[in-house]
Amino acid sequence: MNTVVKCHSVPKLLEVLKELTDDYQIYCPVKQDDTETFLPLEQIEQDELLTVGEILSKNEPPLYSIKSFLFPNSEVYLKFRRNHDKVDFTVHSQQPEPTIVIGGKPCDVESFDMIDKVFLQEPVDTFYKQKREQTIFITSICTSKGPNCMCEEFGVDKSEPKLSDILLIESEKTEEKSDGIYLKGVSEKGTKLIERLAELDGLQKVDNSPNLIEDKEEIEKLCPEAIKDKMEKLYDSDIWEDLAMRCLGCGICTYYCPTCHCYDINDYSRKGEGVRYRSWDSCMFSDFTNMAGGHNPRPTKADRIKNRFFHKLNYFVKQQGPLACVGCGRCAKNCPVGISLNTVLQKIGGQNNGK
Amino acid sequence: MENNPLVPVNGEVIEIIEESKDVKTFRVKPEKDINHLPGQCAMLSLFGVGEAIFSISSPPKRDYLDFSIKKTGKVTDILHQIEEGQQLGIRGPYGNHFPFEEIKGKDLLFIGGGIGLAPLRSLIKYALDNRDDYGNLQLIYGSRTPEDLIFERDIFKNWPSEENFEVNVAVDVESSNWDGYVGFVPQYLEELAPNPENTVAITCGPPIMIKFVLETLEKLGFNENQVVTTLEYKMKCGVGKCGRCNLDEHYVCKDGPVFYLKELKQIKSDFC
Repeated sequence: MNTVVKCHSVPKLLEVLKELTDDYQIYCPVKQDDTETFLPLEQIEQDELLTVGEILSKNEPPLYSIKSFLFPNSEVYLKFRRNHDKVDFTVHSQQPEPTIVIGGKPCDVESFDMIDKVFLQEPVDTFYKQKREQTIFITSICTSKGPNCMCEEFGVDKSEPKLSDILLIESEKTEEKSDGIYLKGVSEKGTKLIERLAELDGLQKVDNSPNLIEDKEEIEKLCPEAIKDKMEKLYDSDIWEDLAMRCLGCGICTYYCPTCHCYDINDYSRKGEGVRYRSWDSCMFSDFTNMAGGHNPRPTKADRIKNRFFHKLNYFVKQQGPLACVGCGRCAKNCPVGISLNTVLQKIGGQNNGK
Repeated sequence: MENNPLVPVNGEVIEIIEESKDVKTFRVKPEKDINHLPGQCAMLSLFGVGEAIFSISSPPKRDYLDFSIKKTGKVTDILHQIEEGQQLGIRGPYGNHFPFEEIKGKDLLFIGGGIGLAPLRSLIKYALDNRDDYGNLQLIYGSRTPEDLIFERDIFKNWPSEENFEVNVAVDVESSNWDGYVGFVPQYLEELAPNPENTVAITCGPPIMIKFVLETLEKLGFNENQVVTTLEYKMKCGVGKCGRCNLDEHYVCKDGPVFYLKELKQIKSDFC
């Protein structure tokens, strides 16, 4: 039996959660300067609290995925200092603090299934693993499909995502009034937190959370094996050239994608001291594979687009089983020239037409 | 803190050997044993400059590792300026290795181009360390000019004086100080026409050379289980996560760099 607590509104919930800020870093999605971002709870102004609720109740994911909480866009991991002829280096590992992230969507939290497969397989990426263990994800459940959403087609259960720690369920609004916000523990660490929340003023333990998705739409799930096989036939197709003529090579698809995990490693140093850091990279950039000697195995934009979609729809399936996509729709929403994963799925005829 | 694959160990450059105008061999003594096998690679780093992956050109069971490095980019430019005694970061070994067990009892034909001889040298020296395990050895090696040839003392002195080791050296373009073969490696290979019987060919060089060497070997009657290549790709992590060295679903850093021709043919690559 999952433990469930109830609170009457999002602003109230956030107010109560502030009591935990000594023990946890708490991040929420918020609209600031007209754009959605995640901020520490204590940095969110009173008048912005309403925007948190707005974002949570939207039936589409926030602008940024939550992967950066485990795999930051830039992360220092070595520090070094020149000492005469010697260089001393140390691992710069801040033991990650216990963190709560509110507001990822089912698609977001399920994307960790893909990144786990890469970062937790031998040799384990300990920076990722430590954050994974220390972070509790409160996933806000969607009640219907957003304009670019395809999570269910990709096998994500939007009412009960497997990898979430806690589900945040907003009961159906009637007469412009919400009956309340329910938090339901799923994982062990999530349930522990819920037990603690139940002791706080303003949150009350209840028997169950409302079941919002009553009429489950029958949606045909994509079959990774079938898509992988269809992709094989597309290897020499003209579609990659066609897409390359539109693609700007800006990399936005990769940065907003919750399953992309490519990274770069660089050093920064000044006056004998410095750091080594890794940062997100994009397979859409021309120098991604360009070697020092000048040889580039993927010299054209068409090569790179083909590689990106093959990675998601064919190579990843061969290596790991699932498609490397959770149908969040961010590529569809944010690509300046309208190329998305769905563009390719339509080309291979594997997806409901007209979407 | 558990062992993180991105964290290097300290190494010291104990010797630097000038191989050619733009290639130097850096003999590095790592703080902890790296225990590599022939054909594997390692990441070297100069703190403040960056990291790059290099093949290890020395055989296993030495208390040092050789890296024969061509000056060709940001990290290698600075590497070429360092002196003996300098400290480096090192992590590895990475990748698979030459199938030194599987090819026991065979004649070995090494075909190298330019700096591509570096990884081959780890296996050549390994075969010499374990001479009874292998049959005749032959090296066909070429570079652009005589000045670009590397491992001169090996290719002109040490190896030709070994029993049953034929060394054939070529340069691409005519030169006043060269009276050996002039022409590209695949062409020289075709003319020398080594017998494929009980032989395994191992090749490394620029991608275009590899492509034509593979074609030529097949023309000479080598089958796809008798040909082994080792490839070079840009890499950052070396452990199959940073995502840039993929050849289809394979990562060169993890599933390679060594591939049989049979495997390479199933991959959509530049090589065949």
